[in-house]
Amino acid sequence: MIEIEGVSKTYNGKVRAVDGLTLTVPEGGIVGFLGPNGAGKTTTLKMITGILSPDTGSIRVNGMDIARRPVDVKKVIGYVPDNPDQFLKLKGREYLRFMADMYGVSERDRNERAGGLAETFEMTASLGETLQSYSHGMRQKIVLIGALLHDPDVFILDEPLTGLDPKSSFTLKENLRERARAGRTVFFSTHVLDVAERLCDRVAVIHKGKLLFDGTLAEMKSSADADATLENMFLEMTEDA
Amino acid sequence: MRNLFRLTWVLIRNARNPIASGKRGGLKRALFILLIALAFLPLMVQIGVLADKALDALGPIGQKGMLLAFAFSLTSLLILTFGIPSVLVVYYFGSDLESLLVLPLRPSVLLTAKFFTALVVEYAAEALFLVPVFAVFVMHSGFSGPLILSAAVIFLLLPVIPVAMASLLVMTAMRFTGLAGNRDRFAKIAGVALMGLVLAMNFGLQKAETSGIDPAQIVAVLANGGGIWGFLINRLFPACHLAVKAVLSAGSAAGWLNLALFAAASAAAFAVLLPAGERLYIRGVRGGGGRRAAAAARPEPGAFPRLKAGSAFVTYLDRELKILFRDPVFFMNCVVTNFLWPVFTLFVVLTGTGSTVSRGPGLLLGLAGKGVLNAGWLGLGMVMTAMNAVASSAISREGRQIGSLKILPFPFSHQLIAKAGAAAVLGAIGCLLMLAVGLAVFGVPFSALPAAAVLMPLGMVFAACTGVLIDLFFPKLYWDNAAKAVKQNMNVLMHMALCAATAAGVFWLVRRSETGPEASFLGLTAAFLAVDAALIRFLWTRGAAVFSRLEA
Ligand SMILES: Nc1ncnc2c1ncn2[C@@H]1O[C@H](COP(=O)(O)OP(=O)(O)OP(=O)(O)O)[C@@H](O)[C@H]1O
Ligand SMILES: [Mg+2]
Repeated sequence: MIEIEGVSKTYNGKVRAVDGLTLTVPEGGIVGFLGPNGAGKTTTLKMITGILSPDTGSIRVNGMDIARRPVDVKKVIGYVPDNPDQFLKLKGREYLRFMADMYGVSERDRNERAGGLAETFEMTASLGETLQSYSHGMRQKIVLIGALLHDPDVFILDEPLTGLDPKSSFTLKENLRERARAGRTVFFSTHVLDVAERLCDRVAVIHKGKLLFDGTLAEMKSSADADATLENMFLEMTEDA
Repeated sequence: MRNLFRLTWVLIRNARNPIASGKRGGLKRALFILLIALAFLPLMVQIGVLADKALDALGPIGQKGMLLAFAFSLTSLLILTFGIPSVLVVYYFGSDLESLLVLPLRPSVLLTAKFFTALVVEYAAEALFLVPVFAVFVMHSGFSGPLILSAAVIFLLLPVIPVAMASLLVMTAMRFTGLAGNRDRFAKIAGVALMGLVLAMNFGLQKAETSGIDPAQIVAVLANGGGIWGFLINRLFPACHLAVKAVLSAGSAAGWLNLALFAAASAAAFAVLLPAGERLYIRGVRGGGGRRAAAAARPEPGAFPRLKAGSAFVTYLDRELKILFRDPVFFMNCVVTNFLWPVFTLFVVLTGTGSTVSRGPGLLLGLAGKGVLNAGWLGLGMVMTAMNAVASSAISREGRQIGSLKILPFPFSHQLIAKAGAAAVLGAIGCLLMLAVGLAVFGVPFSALPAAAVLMPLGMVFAACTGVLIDLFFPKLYWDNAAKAVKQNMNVLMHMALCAATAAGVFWLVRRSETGPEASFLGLTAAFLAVDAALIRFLWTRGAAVFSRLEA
């Protein structure tokens, strides 16, 4: 579970990227994080994962305050950033080993999980190459595998589906559903409303740093026209906000 | 044409070093430039003095041109060699390449813009050598408008030919040697080869210098064309003779004619480069992307490689070292340096005149029983570790991807210590090699080893911790090519200055107080155990807090 309370974040003292955001992401479901470009999605996710610290407000993950117990919080989080261009000088297997050692994953678990994930994402053959030689999608996949090695309780993804091929995208979505069924927390940002509509149990919509809506899709529908699509509702909501 | 000017302007602005942005950026940049100028001033003065002596000797026999010929062609050679890495960076390593290739520009426009960008970079290096020579020459020949004008034009034109040559060399290598497929490896090989060349040149210069103290010998050296080097240089850059004549007869018709001829020769060099470059450059770039090359050589499907488990600290340290070894810029600046200085020292001793060889060991033997030798060990540890810039660029090297470290559940305090550890590991390599040189050549007694074994590591830890701290407080995370994180990072200079000053201060104190070997050993050990412990503690607590607030 992620509890965000009254969180604000300003860049360079000017751009107010997140503005008094209060939001709870419950476990046991998939929550989609929607909003137009520049709405503050990435900023919010970076604050949950400890890359940025909020100016005001607090964030708790599984009941632990990120400011007080950062290391414990990070241990339960798996994070896939929007830009996978990191650790480019490492080879695929070196990167996976690095992540496994950082999260203290036992030798048995890491090989079992990485072996399985590399196989399903068709990355096994590329593990001997440096990430620099990977395509964008391959980089995304290796980062995904790395983020799953410690079987995180809370899985946070920033635009995970852009750039993945259909098969990988399907595999990922299956993985997310499985996690939700097992009572884990899944929180991801996306622009693909169709995916959000089919995959998410709940959605949170953010615009100009402020929360516009938080609830199930059914709740959203009941507040709008009966047969409106998520797309219509989204456009309407962010139009007059 | 408008396109060309705009593109060149944008490229040069981008290549400029954004030392500081924001309100006080201008001041910081001015300070930085001043610092660099101050650092090079002694060298420039020395060159000026040498030129002055040479002119004193050459003037009366009417051979002032010899000095100019030597200066012009040597500068050309320097620009050619030092131009190779900067051409490589400008043409092939800019992160702007992918976006430039999609612009609707003719290859010649792109190439020309890149050429001028590379050219501008060389003017600073050129100024270092030519400004003192020109200044001294004007003092000797009398101030005149045409002379100044000719000198200025030659200053602007001189790098054109060597940069064109460097461009052709690099482009040919990138296009045909398959090295383009592995640009990192190419850059590393080129870098090491260049170091070798610099070392060899140093050898030549040193010979010239030791024999050049005596004006009569300067004349002798210059008269036979500067020895083997002068011969090579003259063959490589024949156009320099036009420039020499232009300066010597500045103001007369012959002077202007020679100046025009020199300009024509420079233009010709560029005219040769352009069509060749169009064929070589764009294809080299397109075919040279590491990504595509790897895709071409699809790896065989294989079994999953087993991932061993290890300690987080060791794995983190290993990652630091891997990156330092694999990135060509980091490799040259942070790894090779550790090997370079010992080799350099050895070189100087072996190639020096008899006096250096006999003085070196004698000097150290004289120190053997003294307290200052202990200060020397401490200082060596500090300076070697500061010189490799590993600690003082530890944070900056991460660049905008620093966030990928902040998500790790490996505490920031541990991360910082591991980063300092990487600096110490590489510093230790340098120190051990230096020690080996000391034992082999300088006659350092083996009895000094126990003290070295304690004091050198204390110096290394001091440098590693201060370096990481400096870079942590003033990190430079926004860069588009790795050179800016290391080479053009003010923290590296500051840290070297700090360590050199500390080492010198300790040396001075011990020498001044005439402390004996035992007392100085105990005193320095106790003092630096305390200092290092305090530094580690500071890095562990305050450092980690600063790290947690870093945002990019
Ligand atoms: N490093 C930064 N420095 C300054 N401003 C920033 C920075 N990163 C983001 N911003 C600003 O913060 C606001 C929110 O950005 P954020 O990246 O969180 O949006 P987003 O919802 O993820 O957008 P997108 O859908 O395009 O990914 C934007 O106005 C952006 O300009
Ligand atoms: Mg975003």
